[in-house]
Amino acid sequence: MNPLVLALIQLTLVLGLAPLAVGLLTFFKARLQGRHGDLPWLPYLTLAKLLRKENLLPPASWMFRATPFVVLTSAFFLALVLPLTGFGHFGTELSNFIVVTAVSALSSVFLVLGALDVGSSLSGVGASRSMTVMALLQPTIILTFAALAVITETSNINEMMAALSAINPVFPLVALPTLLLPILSLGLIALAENGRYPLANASSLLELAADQRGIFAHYSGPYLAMLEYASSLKLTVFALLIANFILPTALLTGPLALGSGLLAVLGVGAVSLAKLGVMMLSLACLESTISRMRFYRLQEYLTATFFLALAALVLALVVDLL
Amino acid sequence: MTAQTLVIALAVSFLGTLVASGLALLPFKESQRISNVVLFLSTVMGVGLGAVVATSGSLTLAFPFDLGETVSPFFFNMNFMLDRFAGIFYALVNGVAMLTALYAVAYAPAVSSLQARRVTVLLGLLIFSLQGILLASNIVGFVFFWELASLLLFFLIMVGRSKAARQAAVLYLFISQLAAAAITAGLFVLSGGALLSTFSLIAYSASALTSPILAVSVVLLTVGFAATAGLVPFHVWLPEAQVVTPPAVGALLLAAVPKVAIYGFLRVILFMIPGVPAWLPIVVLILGLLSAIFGALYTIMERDGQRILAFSTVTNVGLIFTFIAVALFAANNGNEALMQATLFAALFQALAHAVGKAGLSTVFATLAIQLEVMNLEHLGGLARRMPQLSLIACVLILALAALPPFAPFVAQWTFIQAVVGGLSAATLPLMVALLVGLAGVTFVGGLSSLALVKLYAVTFLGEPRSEQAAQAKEPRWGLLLPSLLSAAALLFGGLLAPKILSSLGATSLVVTNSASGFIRVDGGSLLPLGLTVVFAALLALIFLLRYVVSNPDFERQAVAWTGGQASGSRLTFTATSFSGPARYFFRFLLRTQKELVVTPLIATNPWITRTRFQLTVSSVWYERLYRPLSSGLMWLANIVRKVQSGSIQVYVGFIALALVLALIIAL
Repeated sequence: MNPLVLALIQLTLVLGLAPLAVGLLTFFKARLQGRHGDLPWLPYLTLAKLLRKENLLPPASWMFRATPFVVLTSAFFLALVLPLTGFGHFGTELSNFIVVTAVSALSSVFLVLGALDVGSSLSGVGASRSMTVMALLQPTIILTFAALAVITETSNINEMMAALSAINPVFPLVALPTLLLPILSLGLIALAENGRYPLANASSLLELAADQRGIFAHYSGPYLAMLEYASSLKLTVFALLIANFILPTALLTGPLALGSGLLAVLGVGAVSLAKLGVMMLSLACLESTISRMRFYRLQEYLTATFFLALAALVLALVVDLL
Repeated sequence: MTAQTLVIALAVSFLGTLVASGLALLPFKESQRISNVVLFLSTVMGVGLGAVVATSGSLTLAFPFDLGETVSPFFFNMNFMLDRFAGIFYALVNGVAMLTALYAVAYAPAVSSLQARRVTVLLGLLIFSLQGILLASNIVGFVFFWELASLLLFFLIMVGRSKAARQAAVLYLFISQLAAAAITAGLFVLSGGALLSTFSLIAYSASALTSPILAVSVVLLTVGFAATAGLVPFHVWLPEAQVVTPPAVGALLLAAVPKVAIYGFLRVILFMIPGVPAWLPIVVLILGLLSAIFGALYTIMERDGQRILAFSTVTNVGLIFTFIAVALFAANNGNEALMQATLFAALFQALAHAVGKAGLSTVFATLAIQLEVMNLEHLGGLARRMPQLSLIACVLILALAALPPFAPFVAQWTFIQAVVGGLSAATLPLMVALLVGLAGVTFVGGLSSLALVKLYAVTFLGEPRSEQAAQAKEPRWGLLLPSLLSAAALLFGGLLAPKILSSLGATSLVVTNSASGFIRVDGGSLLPLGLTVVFAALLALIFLLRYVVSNPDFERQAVAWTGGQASGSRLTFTATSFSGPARYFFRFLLRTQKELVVTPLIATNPWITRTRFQLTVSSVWYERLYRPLSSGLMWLANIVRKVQSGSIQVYVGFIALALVLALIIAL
């Protein structure tokens, strides 16, 4: 298929599935905790409702207005360039891991700036905490991807996926056991990037747990919809990326591709939905079994992830040398 | 352009700064403005010439004329030349000087005071001597201009005449003179004592030196250049000096002076010594990472805008030295490609940081002039009152935080990509160095973006925390122009990075088969233009969707929700509160002391209290290094003083002793 068409299919699929991922997560969590819970497609309705609502603007500068646009654009960018439904489509030359990390950092920086633009301590707490976590997470992200780059001998995430599926299209972990540590580390990074347990409580607006969500406190209406959508996109992108590193199967490209045509697109959509479902179920299990860490203990989490990533890189290098 | 015109143009640009400095001495009203305009024109010429020489195929361009003999005996046989390598730094120094001069033209002080006139004269002379360092090709010329620049900078720091200015100036004089002495001694050891040896001759004579003597010289030169560049533990003078220098000079101090020291270091290491000693990369890596990490942590902690800028320069110089250290490791392990990539990353980072820091210094100079407050706790809310300045500052901050698509991002991308790509083929010692460099640079990258976001957010966002900040107004466009130019240069420097790098000679890194070209380093490629176009297209799509899906006019102003408290400046996050988490996480390195005193106003009621909170961040370097050093010196001076008893008999005794000793040695 045409690379541009492949890219548009991926963008459409991911953009369409993103709210459902959050819906599934809250649904699974509710069921695990013995509640009936909302229906999984509630986020679509919430977004539609927010888009119709009036946009209330607190006293702030142009930064407050710029933030939702930059944050959502970064999320779109990640959804376009990363290998989520296939690899090698249009835009994949841009999926160098340093570029991806930097674009994601750009979005975090704008979230923090937008939050601090309103002179309120609630969003200030969230901003300062999330910025600190993001800053300390930078080396971990780079080292994790460096380990993957050493294993697959490329720095482009799409080419990494292609290399993995060329080695073993069903389950590359069997052929490359060193892949386990970077994937584990990527999971821990995803928890931090998305403000999930044990770092923060993403479904609470309470001040004590406001690490990430306090940032949204002053946004309303369409702007809030944009930020919510961006955060659900980020969650979906991370979930699909990790799922694809474990199982680079049944994509639009690769040795075990589903072929081309409308049926293949529908098949990939169904497979992506299944991957998202499994990832959200495991996240829901994790979030229902552990508790949130005190913020001032997060340096233990961050240090542990850093050394896990370093161990992943060293192990990859040692195996490479042997 | 023929070589002859190039040489003449170079002479005009070089002497133009001297002329500009002289013009400021003339006793008529507009002399300062004319001086600044001349300075601007000659530095614009300097930028162009530096760029032409840096990108030209011919390796060196020597002056055919001797400035000396006819002008002054002091210039006797002093050679001048500009090769490709010095051309890069010539463009850099002139670029920063150009922004400074442009700013000085717009910022004409209301009263043409004696002090302002002094600053204008000294500024021209300082730029002249910095250019001279880059043009000099022998020891005498280099040391002469180096010493001249040190002394001029001393006077520029001193010019404010406050107690703080005097202290900063003396501290600077102490460190800069030690550095200059070390550099002079190092160069003389390298040349075998020949005074007029040119750099190319030194490269010959140095190859005959034994390794211990070479080591002595390299240690001296490294310490000298590191101290001038502001590396930890010699960094203490930089923030103190930055606080007291006049507004227009800050850019030069932070952006140009450390880069000239980097030039000197690279000139010696790359072109003069026969081979890099095995221990040198380790020393440079330690110095670089120490500076980068401590610089970043102090940038996070600091509350004074000027000191934050100074510590951010320390961080950046540390990063550049780390890049250089990795390049030296690669050179010693025979990995030519990795050395090229990391060295060009260092050069590009030096260029990009100089431009960005010069722009940011002028932004903060404007704030200092208009608001007369530099403590971030008393700023805030400026973005609503100065939208244009805050937008420019935002671009500069994002660029300096190494976010795409700006030039510093390209430099750091090149470094990280080269290291990651070089890891698997590296020998074990190189691999360890690469791992340390990679972890250190990314760690510092995160911390420094945290610090820069704090600087921007606390200054420009939120509610104003003082009267002055509440009454801020958009500055004149003349004051905005230098920072706007620098922001534009960083943007285009990032977008056109492949072109710039390939014309600087990094042809191995750049693939120019497509329209814009891209940078390719060991297993990874970067398309700055493609990245920006895709991002802009997605941004346009989202703008469109916003207008299609929701009604953009359905909005109104509302009050901020602050949990029931009265909103206002009391609730705005300050620099101290923003850096709270980082301060807690790094308390073992920062040694902060927190003191909280709560006294109840009414003895029976524990809730109505008066609270006093005090936070002190002490400098480990002052307490552990400089204070013991200074008290040790005082102790030594006291012992020596006992010799000067003041009685003539003792002095006669000394003379007799000296005579006897001389006779014993002579016979």
